[in-house]
Amino acid sequence: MGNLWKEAVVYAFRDFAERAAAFVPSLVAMIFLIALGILLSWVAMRLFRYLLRKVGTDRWSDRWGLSAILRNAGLKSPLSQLLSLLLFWILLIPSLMIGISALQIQATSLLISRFFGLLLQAIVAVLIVLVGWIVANFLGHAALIGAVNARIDFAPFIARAVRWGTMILASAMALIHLGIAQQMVVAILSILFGGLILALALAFGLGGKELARQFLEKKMRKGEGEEKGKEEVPHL
Amino acid sequence: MDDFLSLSSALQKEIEDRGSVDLLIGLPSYNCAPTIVQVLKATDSGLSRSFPQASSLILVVDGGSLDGTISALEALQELSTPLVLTPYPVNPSRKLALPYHGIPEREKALWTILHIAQRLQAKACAILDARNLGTTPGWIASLLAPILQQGFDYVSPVYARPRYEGNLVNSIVYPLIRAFYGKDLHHPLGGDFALSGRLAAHFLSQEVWNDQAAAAQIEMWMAISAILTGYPLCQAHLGPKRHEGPPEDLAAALSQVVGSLFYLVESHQGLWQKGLSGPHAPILGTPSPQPAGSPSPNPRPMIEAFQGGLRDLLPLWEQALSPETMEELYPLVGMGMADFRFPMDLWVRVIYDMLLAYHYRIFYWRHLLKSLTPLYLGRMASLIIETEKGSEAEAEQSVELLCQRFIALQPYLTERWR
Repeated sequence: MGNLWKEAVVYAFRDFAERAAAFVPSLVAMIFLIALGILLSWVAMRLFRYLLRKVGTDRWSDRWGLSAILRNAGLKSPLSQLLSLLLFWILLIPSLMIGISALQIQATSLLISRFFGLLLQAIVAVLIVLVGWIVANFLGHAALIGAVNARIDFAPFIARAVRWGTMILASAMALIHLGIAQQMVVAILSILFGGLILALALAFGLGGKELARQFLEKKMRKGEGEEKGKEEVPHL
Repeated sequence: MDDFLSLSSALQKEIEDRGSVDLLIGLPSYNCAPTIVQVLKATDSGLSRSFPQASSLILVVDGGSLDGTISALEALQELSTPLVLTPYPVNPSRKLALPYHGIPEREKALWTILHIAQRLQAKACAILDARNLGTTPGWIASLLAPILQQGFDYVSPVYARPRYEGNLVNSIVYPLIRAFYGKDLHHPLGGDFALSGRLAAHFLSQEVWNDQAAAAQIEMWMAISAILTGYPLCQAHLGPKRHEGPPEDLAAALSQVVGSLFYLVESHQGLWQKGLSGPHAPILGTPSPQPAGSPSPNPRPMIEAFQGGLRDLLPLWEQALSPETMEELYPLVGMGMADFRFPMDLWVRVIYDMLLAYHYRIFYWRHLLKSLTPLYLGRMASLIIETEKGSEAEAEQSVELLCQRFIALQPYLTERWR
């Protein structure tokens, strides 16, 4: 009995020791690979940030109003820092995956690689929405200012339509990228934009008839009207 | 910039044959067929009348005209001064949206003219606006004599214009140049000016030609650089200006002109913060009588544009303008034409707030400056209402008063500028 118990305990310890001896190198390899991944990603991030600053990305971002848009969204760091941070995470995720696969636990490796694959897709989708949001704001501002300067009464409506149209397009692109209800998204988009164009065509065709007539009349009678041309003084 | 210059064989030959000239007249052109021949005839006549002993050359630098400008120039026989036509390369995308003066990449045309002036060792070089039908033979003497006979290096034009023409210059450009650079250049963007050979050489040696933002408004840069480098400069009474160009897009012109000026003010912050002042730029010649202007512009549409802007652009203006400025703008929304007033001090603060918003990159600079258009129209409407019944002298006094207010309120800007 004593021998049997002794054998069982020794066997269990030996088995643990053997498994541990087989696992520890994998663990060390994982730690090493992840540490190397972090180091390389960090070096790449610093190098990328340096290059971005060298080519004047922050100046360009300031001049084009991108910094202001990002600031309004709560992202107060310069564009060069944001982009290099993004690169850091994009490089780190594959190195985490490589590191974990060094453990050689098949189920975990599969699960983790699937998780990181999805995470990468989600990051790209978020990026698409973020870029779409920036472009939507930029175009919205441009449309608003252009319409106000052209003295169009419904300028804010035009600006909102441009902004939301761009946002919807970006969101649909993100959903398609994630593979969520692809066909439905395409169908909704087609109906939405097709309907919008038809509505605009009808609105301009029917509602703008009078406007077009007035415009042509004004053109034909150039110089006759009392008010016509009086504001058109050279400003420079 | 050397890479874009490919001199035509005719020009190469002209340079080699002549070796040097005393005077060079340069005309940047692009689709100027209806006007350029008349301007050239006036120039030729002015050169033969005022400088018969001097050797002269007229150089037309064309950006790829398609309207018959080239054939009109080739058919031109009766000039006594040699005329050379040379192209300068233009990026085709720049022809899609032309700047307010109608010459795409004008800085390249001016660089070519100055470069040729330097190679020909010209004593003086005049740049003329090929679309200005107001050009007379007398202008050549007015622009070049101060350089040849009085030792000036830069001659800026002073035009006789109906009261409200050129209001953008009178209400923003002229006062800002006075406030920041201490010189009273009346029409620094006129399109007609002259400079000495040595100043042309100095300009060519500067980095500006490779700086896209600065080069976009090269004429303003030249005027301000002449002030800052201390070259003697003066102004010359020329007479009425009749610029025949495509219709002006006010918002685009505002963003181009004010954007360039803000860019330069920002680049020179170290200089104007110390306080720049100097002697007045003398105005030479006899002022021409004010041309019989058309009736004053109607301020009503301008007030409507301003009030529409106040209603629709409020979220943008609230980001760009200070709360105190906004407080004074709100009451103007409901005012009728009879009692509408956009006070001078409020206008000065609007411009300084816009300059600060530009400096701090509140939003994209072109959007910022285009959003200034309704405010500009509001101020212009108020100016018309205030001065329409007054005399010419009173109108000029109001421009002078505006300059004084820009200078007096400068601490408002400097306190907020970091």
